[in-house]
Amino acid sequence: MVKVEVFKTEMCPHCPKAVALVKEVAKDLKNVEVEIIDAMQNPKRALEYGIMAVPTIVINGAKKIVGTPSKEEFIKALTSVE
Amino acid sequence: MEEKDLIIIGGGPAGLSAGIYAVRNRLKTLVLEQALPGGLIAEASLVENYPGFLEIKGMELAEIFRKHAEKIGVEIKQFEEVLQIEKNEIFKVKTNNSEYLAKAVIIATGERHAELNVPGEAELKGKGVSYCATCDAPLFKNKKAVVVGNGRAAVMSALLLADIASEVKLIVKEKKIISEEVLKEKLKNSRANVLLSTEVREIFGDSVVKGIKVYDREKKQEYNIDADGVFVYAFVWKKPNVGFLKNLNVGLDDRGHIITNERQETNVKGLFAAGDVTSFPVKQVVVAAAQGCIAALSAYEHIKGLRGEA
Repeated sequence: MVKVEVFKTEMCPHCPKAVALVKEVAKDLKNVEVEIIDAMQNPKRALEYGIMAVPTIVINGAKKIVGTPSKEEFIKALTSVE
Repeated sequence: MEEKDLIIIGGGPAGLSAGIYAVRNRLKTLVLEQALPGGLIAEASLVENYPGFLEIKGMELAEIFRKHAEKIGVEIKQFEEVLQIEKNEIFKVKTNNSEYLAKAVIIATGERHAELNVPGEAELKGKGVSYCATCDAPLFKNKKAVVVGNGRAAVMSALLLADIASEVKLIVKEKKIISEEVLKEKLKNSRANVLLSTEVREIFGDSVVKGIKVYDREKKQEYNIDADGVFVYAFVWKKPNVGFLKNLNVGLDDRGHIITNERQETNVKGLFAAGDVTSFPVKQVVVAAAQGCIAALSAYEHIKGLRGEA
């Protein structure tokens, strides 16, 4: 199981795209657990990962992707940590 | 292959306004948006100059545009990026998902933020370097921030950060601020400190941003400014989104914006453009919406001509 955390903020217009991408890929791959985190409501977790921009996608608590990657780039990043 | 009367590329104010006018003229219309409808205005922390709204968040205004368009029957496909357009008898629009035919096309793809292109910027992107203050400003609470750029968006970002960060500097390369007088007054009364005639030469840090190296063009001096966040937010350096048009020989100005006449027609018959992607110098929501209307009505006339109804 791969854990994917997506950090967003309420006013971020680019975040819904990242959330939609992650959910779409997770639905296809099935072994992906997704959590959407509001960086402002969870500042401790944002600080833990050093989140300084949103959207940021964190894979298995280690690999960080800032912004929204293409579907292919995201799948590649997921498979590289499995 | 699906065929439409009109394909509108871009779901910002220009594109959605065009969609509304097209559907009301019973054109079979499709809006293709590479992300979510709304355009760059969705990034605006506050919009105070769109008639009918004393003040509204950019995201909320964008959402109202979307709802209006969808309610009257504009078909919007989001997350669908146009890769190429070909023209024979009619247009063939190729996207990342599909291909469509259309009798007319309106380009309303707006602009994107440009980079500063200084050392350290690429390496520290997402580590303190941001291109969206509305997105990332809350993460810089009680930290030092600089906004680099000029124009309305830069001023709005500095004002937003002045309420959040411990200190804010607006670094402006030019000798004066280019913005509405109202915003200049707000800036003057805010906690933001403005440095004019100052250009950024480097963004430095290790794993995160630590500061910027600037050059004072008046005093001809270079010095460092401590900063945790660098917001690059400069409309004067924005770039139009026209990469997918390379096959069509569309007339562009020296900055790459699409040249249109007062009917929003380009040099390619049946191809129209509206909003920030055009060479028209005033980049405002109200202008984009108006140009969207004109483009849609011009496209309607063009399509009537093809049908022999003109």
